[in-house]
Amino acid sequence: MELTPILGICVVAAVLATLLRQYKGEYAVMLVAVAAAAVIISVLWSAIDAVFTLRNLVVKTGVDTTYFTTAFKALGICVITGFASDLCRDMGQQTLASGAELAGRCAVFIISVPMLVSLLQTALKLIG
Amino acid sequence: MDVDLIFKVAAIGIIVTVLNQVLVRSGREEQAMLTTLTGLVVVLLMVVDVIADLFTTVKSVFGL
Repeated sequence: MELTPILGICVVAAVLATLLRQYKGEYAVMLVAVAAAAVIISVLWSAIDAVFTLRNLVVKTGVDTTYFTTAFKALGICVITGFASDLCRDMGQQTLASGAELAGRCAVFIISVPMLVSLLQTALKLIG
Repeated sequence: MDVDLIFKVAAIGIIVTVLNQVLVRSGREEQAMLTTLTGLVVVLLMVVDVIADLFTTVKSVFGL
């Protein structure tokens, strides 16, 4: 999936959204949501093989992969949360956007807790 | 890359706007309201479908 079709679609969707905004605002926002979702889906599908090669590399190095998978999960959560909160901000709902961001941060924090625990344990082992 | 979905939403938006104007001009405000509502529901179902697709893609790519 090269770059130019994606950029073209973003611009066309933006133009259509401004057209629709004059008459019916809600259709403009839904059009932007569909366009953004389609773009993110196609970008992720084209990035999926790079992701798997990276994962195989990390597994091959023999390093414990739990940290890598946690970081990757956090990345996924950031992608979804950013999409949802920016969409809410587009519609003028700042509160919902900050609510979505708060939920995303909590999710990332909850995922990273076991990592923090094992980090502290290794630190204590070094000291003790 | 479902480009046609984007144009479908734009087309429904324009059609509902035109229908709304026609119905309002001919004095049938309630039917105009109903057409806007149905158009909104149809487009909303499409949007929910695409966003669900997005979430499953992110889940599979990032292993969530």
